[in-house]
Amino acid sequence: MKRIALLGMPNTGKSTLFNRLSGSSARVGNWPGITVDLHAVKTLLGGHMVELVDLPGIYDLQGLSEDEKIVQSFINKHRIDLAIVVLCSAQIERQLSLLLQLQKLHIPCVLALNMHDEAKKMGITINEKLLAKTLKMPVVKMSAKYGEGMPELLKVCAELINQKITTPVKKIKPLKTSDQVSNEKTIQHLIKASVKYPIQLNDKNTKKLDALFLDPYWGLPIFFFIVFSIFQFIFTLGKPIQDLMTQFFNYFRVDFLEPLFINHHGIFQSLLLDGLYLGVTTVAAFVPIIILFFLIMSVVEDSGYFSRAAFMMDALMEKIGLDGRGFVMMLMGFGCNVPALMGTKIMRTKELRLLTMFVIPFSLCSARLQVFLFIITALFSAKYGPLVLFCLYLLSFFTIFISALIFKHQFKNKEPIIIELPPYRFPTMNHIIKRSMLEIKHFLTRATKFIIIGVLLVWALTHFPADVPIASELSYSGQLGKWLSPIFHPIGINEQLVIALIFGFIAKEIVIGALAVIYGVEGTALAHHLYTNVSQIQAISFMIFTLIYTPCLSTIATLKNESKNLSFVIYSVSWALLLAWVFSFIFYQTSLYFST
Amino acid sequence: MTTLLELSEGQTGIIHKLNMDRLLIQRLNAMGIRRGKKITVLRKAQFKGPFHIMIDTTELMIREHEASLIKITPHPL
Repeated sequence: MKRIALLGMPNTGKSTLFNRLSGSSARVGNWPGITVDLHAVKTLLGGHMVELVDLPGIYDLQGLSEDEKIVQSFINKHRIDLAIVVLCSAQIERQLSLLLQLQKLHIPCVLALNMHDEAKKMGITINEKLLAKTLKMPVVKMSAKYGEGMPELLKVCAELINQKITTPVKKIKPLKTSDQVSNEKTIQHLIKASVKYPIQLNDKNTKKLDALFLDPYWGLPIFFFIVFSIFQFIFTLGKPIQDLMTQFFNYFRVDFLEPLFINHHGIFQSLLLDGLYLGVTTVAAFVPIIILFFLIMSVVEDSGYFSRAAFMMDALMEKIGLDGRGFVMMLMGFGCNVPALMGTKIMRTKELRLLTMFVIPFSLCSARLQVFLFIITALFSAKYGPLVLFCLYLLSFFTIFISALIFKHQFKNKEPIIIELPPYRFPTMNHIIKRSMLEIKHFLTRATKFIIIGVLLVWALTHFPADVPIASELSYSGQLGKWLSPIFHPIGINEQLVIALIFGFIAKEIVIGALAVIYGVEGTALAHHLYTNVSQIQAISFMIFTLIYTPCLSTIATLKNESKNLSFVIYSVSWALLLAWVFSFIFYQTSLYFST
Repeated sequence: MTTLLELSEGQTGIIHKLNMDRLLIQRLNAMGIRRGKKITVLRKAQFKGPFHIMIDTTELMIREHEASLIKITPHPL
């Protein structure tokens, strides 16, 4: 099958074009030797099936950034029959260099002058016929967003793909300075002949909006207001949907699954319901939040506001080895760590992205908040409760900053931080929806297996040996708790609470449910039981540990998917466990010292 | 001759030299930062943060460190 690759610089609307060309059937593809996920689709073109691959946006074929290396190895290892090179028409002058470099490799190219409407608005006119003649390749003026020029693009692609390739594609070699100079000259010549610029280049709307959004005094309050609103939107809308789903899953279990398996052996029934079914519902619970998150984040990114936010927060984040984009994702982590981790995709430098992913799991997410609220209401008066919760939030921020500071040299960023501030653009619904669907597909295919295996493991720990009460001291989890008690005793966490922590590994949502199983009482009775059996100091120590040790299996699965690096995941989880223990230890021992 | 770092908000200069290794130069070139180009500092972020610069139709944010590597000559008015 012939292969067409989409190539271009970032912010040229390349993925929008890919979405238009691919319909809704895009998948995440795997290529040997390529370490990241690339979107690909098989589609009919010129009477043949072709494979269309969306390569990452790059500035230069030669560079050493993560994305540039991916494109290089893709070109060197996998045949490309045709490249659609996407340019932002208004920035044609600086973007032509990438095209010339590709042409030198003898890859057949089609030049797509995207965002043609924008250039026209700015008064830039491009003579595409002359450009095509000089470049010796088809040039199509188009707008992927509005679908303009799509038929022409498809037509020339179909023609080119059916031609026999005469010269073999060359491997990428380092550019000599002389090549660079000659490329520069070619570009100058091309631009002079075929592009007309107005005297005054001005995107008035962008100027006006920047004056507001980047105002030295109002910029930050507006930023926090926007983040707060996004947060409210995602989680006030997502929460009821999640609750509804949980209710539905419960009904489905009680009214349908339980009667269905009533005649089966107890352990088999439990494996299906408390193991497999719980695993599936754990995964499903994330679906609405992830979809909502990417619906909103696509708007923020595509509109151009995201890089403005990065601009404002950069000074602070630079000091701890991160950048402004990391700050936005970290804040999103306070809602749910999983989409926040997935969202770090926008950061295209590996070290920076890893460090950001390293600290996001310390953000106090809404699931942990539920656990804390239950324990705080059970053990603290209305006067001190809010203070305890506030301190936990402070601790969450502190943990993020301290971890970033300690590890910033380990994940040292070697790339210059230069981020484009593209003109403000209206996002299109079509692109936003497709993006969310791709993300959710990605999460489900990659995380489901991992999460279900984890859930089954915890199920086995708490349900075996078969003849003892579930999650009791005699179960494997109880024995593990006893075995671990030399570690947990100094931080005031007793064996029952250790079992709860083992459950909490799956998801924080089930910690309270696990406590109910462990103590054999529910609701207010459980609250009362905790009140009489656990001291306030022990409870705070337990909450500190819960906050830091690890958010949930889904977060770990996402860390694994996004980093594609198992040792990074182990590293991250070990650091969290260590830090959790140290903080709990410091708190518990000092409190004991002062209270006696 | 000065560096981009010394330009204040609203000022324009001409890029004279990129004082860095070849790969980095290539990267900056691809983003539009090239010798002979007119470069304008639109604004600077608070707390010694990055610069918001404009070259032709491209707007970028660039940190102080990278800005200090870009040598410029004053723009003839």
